[in-house]
Amino acid sequence: MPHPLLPPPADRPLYGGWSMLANAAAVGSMARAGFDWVLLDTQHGEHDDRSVRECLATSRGAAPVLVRPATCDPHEITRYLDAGAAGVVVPMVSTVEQARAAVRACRYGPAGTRSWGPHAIHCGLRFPTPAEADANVLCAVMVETREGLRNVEAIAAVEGVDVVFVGPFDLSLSLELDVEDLLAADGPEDPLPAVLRACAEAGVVAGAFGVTAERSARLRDLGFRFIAAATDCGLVQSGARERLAGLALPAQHPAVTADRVLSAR
Amino acid sequence: MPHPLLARTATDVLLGGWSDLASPAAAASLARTGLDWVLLDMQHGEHDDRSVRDCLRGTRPGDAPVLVRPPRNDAQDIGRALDAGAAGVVVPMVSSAEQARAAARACRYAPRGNRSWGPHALDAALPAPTPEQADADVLCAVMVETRAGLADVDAIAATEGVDVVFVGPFDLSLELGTTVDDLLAADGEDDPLPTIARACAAHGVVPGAFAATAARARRFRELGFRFLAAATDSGLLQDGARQRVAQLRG
Repeated sequence: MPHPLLPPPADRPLYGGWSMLANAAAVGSMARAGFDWVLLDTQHGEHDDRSVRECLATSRGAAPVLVRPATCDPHEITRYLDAGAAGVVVPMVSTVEQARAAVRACRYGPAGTRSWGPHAIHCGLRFPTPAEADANVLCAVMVETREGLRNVEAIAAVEGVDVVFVGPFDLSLSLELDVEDLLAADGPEDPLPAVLRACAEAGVVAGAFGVTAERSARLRDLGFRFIAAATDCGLVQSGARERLAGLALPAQHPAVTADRVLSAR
Repeated sequence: MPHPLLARTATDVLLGGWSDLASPAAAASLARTGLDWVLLDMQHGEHDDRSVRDCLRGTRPGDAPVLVRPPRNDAQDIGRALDAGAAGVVVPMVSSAEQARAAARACRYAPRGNRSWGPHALDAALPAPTPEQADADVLCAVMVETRAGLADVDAIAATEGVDVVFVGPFDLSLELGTTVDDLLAADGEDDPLPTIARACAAHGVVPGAFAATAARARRFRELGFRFLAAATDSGLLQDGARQRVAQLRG
């Protein structure tokens, strides 16, 4: 059964905002801007245990908020779910055993290894029952190594994996390919089509880290349906550059002259 | 003598980035994209004493100069932001020459002012600037954003030590019972913004303003303003996120 957050594969893609800044206001901005999901990145972003709790506490009710733990570690995964994350995107999953460990960390016993103890964030609220929590948690595993690519069919088939999420940067490093070449390669045996096929066969959603508009559109066109479409710090940087470019005056015209021309119009 | 940061305003407009988010990485992002200055906003932004120190410590040589807007015109607030390494301050709600003088004096050590000596631990391993050097390098902008401030703008602009008269169009339009758009559209000789620009020209200080959008920045530039907050980090993030989603959904 597909996860409630996820669309049927033929439906429109879900676009996510990737939070690098350990800042609750930035997370809230992305959650309210129309993204289908937001992710707090503790692997390469600024987030830590405290910022994850702060951001989850202030973004309730907007888009679902996921967390990328720094490693495939049951304690970390449990802790972010306790804090209220809607799910996790677990990095560096290269084997069936690792995928199974990630899935089990997301579920309470007997199916999994998650320890009971929702955080103080739920104080005064009704706790979800273990069965509800298990049904609502989203588990995405990142395939981003040569080994993970080789095992992708078996990883996608692991019970409880909802999304196989490609990390194109690490995967291209592992395959000794350029990222753009990895994205361009669309032959049936090429890496990304192989991931898509494995996901389709297993009935799980194929996701990937796009971040720029161009790469996100390319991933969508290839068939990915769960795409990280922007980072907060990237949007600030690209927005600032675009704003400056939009306000640039021709170099040969000092502002004073240009303004006189504008005023005369 | 114009402030060193303001030398280019004779022929150019300095465009600034306004940091609402108490995030050193967001502030550094603004400071490295080509903007001429960055401001950490403690009045209406998220910044507090700690985030100001964290953001200033996170800047590197080559980054745009970082200013601070203290929450109010208070000598301790101003001194503390400068101690932490701010290149200057943009002081809100300055409505009289007395208030302008208080802001300018808070930026300078005696005998020019009443700043207390004590650069932060930030500078412990660096040679502290001499009081004279610190006074020469500090930028003092005062915000004219009330009816009283507008009435007194000539005396405010004439105040020794004021480098920039900076318009807050939102508060000013609230005070005047008009809208921001109407305030910006009014370009008759005696309308508020031309009056402020003229007072600045008469006293050799730079007219500045909070624009935050590209359209308002263009309009302020047309009106002669030379020191413009051209974008906020939170605004860029919100606009960028909406555009990205719209673009991909087609």
